[in-house]
Amino acid sequence: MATKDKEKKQKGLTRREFITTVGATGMAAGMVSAFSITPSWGAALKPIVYGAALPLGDPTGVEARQGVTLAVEEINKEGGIKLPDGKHPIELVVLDSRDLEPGVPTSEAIQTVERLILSNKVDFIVGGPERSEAWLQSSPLSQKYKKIMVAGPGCYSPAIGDTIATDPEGKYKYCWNTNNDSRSDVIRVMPLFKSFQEQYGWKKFFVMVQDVSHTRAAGEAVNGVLQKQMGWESLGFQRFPTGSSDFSLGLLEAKKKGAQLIFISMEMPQVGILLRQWHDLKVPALPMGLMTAAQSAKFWDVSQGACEYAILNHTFAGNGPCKVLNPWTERYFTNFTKRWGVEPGLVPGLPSYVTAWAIKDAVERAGSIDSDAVAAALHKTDLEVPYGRLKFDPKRHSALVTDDPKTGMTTMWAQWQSKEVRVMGRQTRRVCVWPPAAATGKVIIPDWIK
Amino acid sequence: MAAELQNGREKRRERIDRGIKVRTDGLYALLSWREICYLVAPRALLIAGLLIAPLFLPTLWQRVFCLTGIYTLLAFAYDFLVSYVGFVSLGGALWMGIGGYTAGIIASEFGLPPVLTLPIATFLGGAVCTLLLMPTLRLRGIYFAIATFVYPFIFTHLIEALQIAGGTLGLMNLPTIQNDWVLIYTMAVFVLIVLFGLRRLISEDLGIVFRSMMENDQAVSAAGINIVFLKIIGVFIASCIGCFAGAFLCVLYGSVSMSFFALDFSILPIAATVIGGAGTFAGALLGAVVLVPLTELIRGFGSLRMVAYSLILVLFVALKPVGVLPYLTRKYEQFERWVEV
Amino acid sequence: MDIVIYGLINAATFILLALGFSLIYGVSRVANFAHGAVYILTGFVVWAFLKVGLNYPLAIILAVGVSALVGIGIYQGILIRVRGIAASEVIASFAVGMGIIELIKMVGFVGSFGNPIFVRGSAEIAGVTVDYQRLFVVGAAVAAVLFVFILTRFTKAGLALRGIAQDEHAAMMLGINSDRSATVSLAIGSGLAGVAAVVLLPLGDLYAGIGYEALTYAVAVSIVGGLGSLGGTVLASLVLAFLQVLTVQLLGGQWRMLVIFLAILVILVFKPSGFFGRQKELEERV
Repeated sequence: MATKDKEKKQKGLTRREFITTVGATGMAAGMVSAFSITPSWGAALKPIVYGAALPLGDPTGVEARQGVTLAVEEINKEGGIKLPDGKHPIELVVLDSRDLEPGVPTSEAIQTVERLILSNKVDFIVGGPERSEAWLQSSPLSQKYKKIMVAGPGCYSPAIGDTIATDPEGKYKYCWNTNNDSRSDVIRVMPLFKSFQEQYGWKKFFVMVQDVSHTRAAGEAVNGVLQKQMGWESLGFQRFPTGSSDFSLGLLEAKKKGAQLIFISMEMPQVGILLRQWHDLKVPALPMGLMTAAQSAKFWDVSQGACEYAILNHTFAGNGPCKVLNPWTERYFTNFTKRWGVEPGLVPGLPSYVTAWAIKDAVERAGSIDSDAVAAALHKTDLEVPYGRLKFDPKRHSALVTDDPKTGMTTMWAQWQSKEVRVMGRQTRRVCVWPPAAATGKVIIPDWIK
Repeated sequence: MAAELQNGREKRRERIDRGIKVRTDGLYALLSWREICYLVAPRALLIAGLLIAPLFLPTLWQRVFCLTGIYTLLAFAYDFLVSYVGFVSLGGALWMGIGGYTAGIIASEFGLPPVLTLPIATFLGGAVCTLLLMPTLRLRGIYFAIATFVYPFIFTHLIEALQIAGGTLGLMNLPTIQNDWVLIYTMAVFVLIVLFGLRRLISEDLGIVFRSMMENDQAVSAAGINIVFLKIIGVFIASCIGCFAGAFLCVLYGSVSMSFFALDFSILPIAATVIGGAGTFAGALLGAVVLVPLTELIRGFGSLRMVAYSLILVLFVALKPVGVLPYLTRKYEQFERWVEV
Repeated sequence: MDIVIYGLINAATFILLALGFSLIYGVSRVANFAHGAVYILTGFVVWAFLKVGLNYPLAIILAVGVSALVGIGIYQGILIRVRGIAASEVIASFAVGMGIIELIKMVGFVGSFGNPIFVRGSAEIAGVTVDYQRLFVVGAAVAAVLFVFILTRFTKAGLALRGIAQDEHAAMMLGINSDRSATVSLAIGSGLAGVAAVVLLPLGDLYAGIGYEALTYAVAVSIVGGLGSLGGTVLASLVLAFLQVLTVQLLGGQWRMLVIFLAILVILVFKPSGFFGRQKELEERV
């Protein structure tokens, strides 16, 4: 009887090989962490821990992390935060909250914040989650664990300030916001709308917004400002669910009805399709508003210039090239570009940066890291920052916006122009056109729009 | 059975039941403490583990325990449907969303405390899900799968477009259970009830009918049993379990939002069941207990985590579809040895 | 009139996204949930080829080739092992798709990426401005449909595919190799995804999440049209596209996605096998 040395191997791996494969994969996945923790800079004093829950799978989350990391590195280079017993270095923990990814429940973001508090034992949450809805749902944690939680990156919905204002000394005592919000931004840019009316006789507008909280609020605010206060004619108000990828009909309708201004507020990446289509359809209306993807410094190249003439809301001065408001404005811009090799421009870089410094300032004034003391100190904040001056509204706990760099936050609207200008030592096509305190150029309206 | 040459003689690997397994197979198991322990030990360990572990877990991991419980329940529902009713459900998210929103709406409209909203949301949610899925119960399994996949998207977009039930912000500041211990033990006890209840169910008449329906539904139908009604019952049971999970999450964080319909809630239970072993419920539990804390541990990795996750899932599905639990069970009940040919 | 033109463009988009998926299912009965992943992967492959310095046409051709290869790889590597077990196929292919998409993110493709459009500028068609790229989209869709039509009706390989699709056992008895047919169908289907990617993605930015969106559209159209039917896919694309466009025009933008999902539901209730689904309705009912 012929015998075989080895039986034919069954299809697939043998058990041993399978276990080895899975084990190796499991070990690789479980290897020690990719938390970005900056090392303690030699000081023997216990580090103060900053925590941030950012959506690292999204470019805005990446820029937020870059902003806060830069701030922490700068602070640590000077030794750290000064407390009565000396300078404490900052340790930064950034975890991925995944709150901007579709298909991921908000409980993930809340879990991330809770993990920062319980497991990483952070002293302050300096940013995140980015999405206003997720931040609001995580906010009860600040009261539960008595930790200061600052909404820095993202968090642009007026609902945040509104919610905090319902109980600023009780439930939301530890909740703070270094942002402005979409509603107030629209109200503040009214003089620019007025200039369009006076110079070119514009009176018709069209609104296209994404269907999330802050973008809808922006659209409604525009209706309020343009329609009710300035008497313009609203030609349409379209809400696009997150993930929409076609805007043809909206643009065509705007074109047909003769709109002169299209107000857009979209944070979803599909806004790139919108701008390219606006350009290709030659719609004779000026696109203006928050278009996150188009605010990246690389967008001109990526879209091959289709964004020319669009006026984008960068939310704060210093979040892109603008007139130097104070020495820090330029320092932030240059240092960020040098450190990360790319200019800041997506919204979240600057507020993350400012939050880190603001907490440092509050802690130093309070003389301790106790949350109640720091909360009280935050109320009295009056700090010069890259976007002007940081002062908090006592009820909304959010940054005061005055468009005057000496008294408050200055906003920023920039237009993509084909002719480069030199701002803060770099060539750029993003020209800040509003507010006057930060402007580096004037709005250019092409002939085919006038 | 691999045949190999060992010591110059040909040997073959053979698996036979352990002695103690054979002795415990019948009534005679009651004759000896050792045999009773052999039978009871795995179950006792499980129960003890679930009930005692919370006492030793630090706070963060208590949260993870609750979340694991939620995913476990979803996995049970999936396992039940796929192994005993014959439907592949891609809609853990549907149960989470319906259960969560039902609990949320009841709490915010009527102000009821969690002790009432939980049971109401469970059964009301279960009924709603069953009603939603009824049109597909007459059809082949794949249509059920598609419907469960599509419904979460429908609801998400409905809520977004109509701005109802809190719209994109969701409902917040809902009453929660303040006492963490109550929360965690409610979950632990419910998981145990469902686990043992389901295992009991499949040995009852109903379970036997389910299993025959899976084998050959025409035959069962020919026997005069209304299989559509049976399927309705099966889906109702699974939906109630899933909706409890959703209602629980709402009570856990005191809020509910569109993200309850997230794809994650559909995928992870399937992964847990596949890895743990379908058909045994305990396998689903094992899978969830492994995956959810693992997800927590490697949270720092971002996308690498998802890639590793997909890789493991693919490996298991393609190479070892029976899962981990059957392997462990076999080890427990049988042993291998080499015998001469 | 713009509704007609843009409805057609929308339909062309749907056809491109769904054709490969429907074809794969029709022939090999495997629902390839990694279809969306192949789609977006091809986009990034084109970007990479361009970065390396290849000229655009060459990059496109190579990228489509790569997508076909990826499809073959997915089948031979994974799907072949779970063929026949419905649940496992779905899970395996979806997991592969998810893995690819997350891998793209992990490798660093987060942020501003885009592929250039073929030709800048636009044309006036019946009084409606249409940009050239979208005309390419329509052209590509027509070409794809013709390709599949000719392939399955007139070539030996295509007839073999149809044979397998109609009755697997009979075809096998005639000597048609089931696994090889499945591999071919996956190659062609994924190649079609690649073609779609090459012509559709330049319309906007490149980001990994597109993979999930594309898959959703592919599945939606295939179900409404009937899995595996060419005519069904085309008809369903037209119906859904115009349905979407009309809804947006008449009811407002916020309904644009909902109408697609509701259409799926309606089809499931009234005609589960889709418009031209090959499964007779009787078989669908238990």
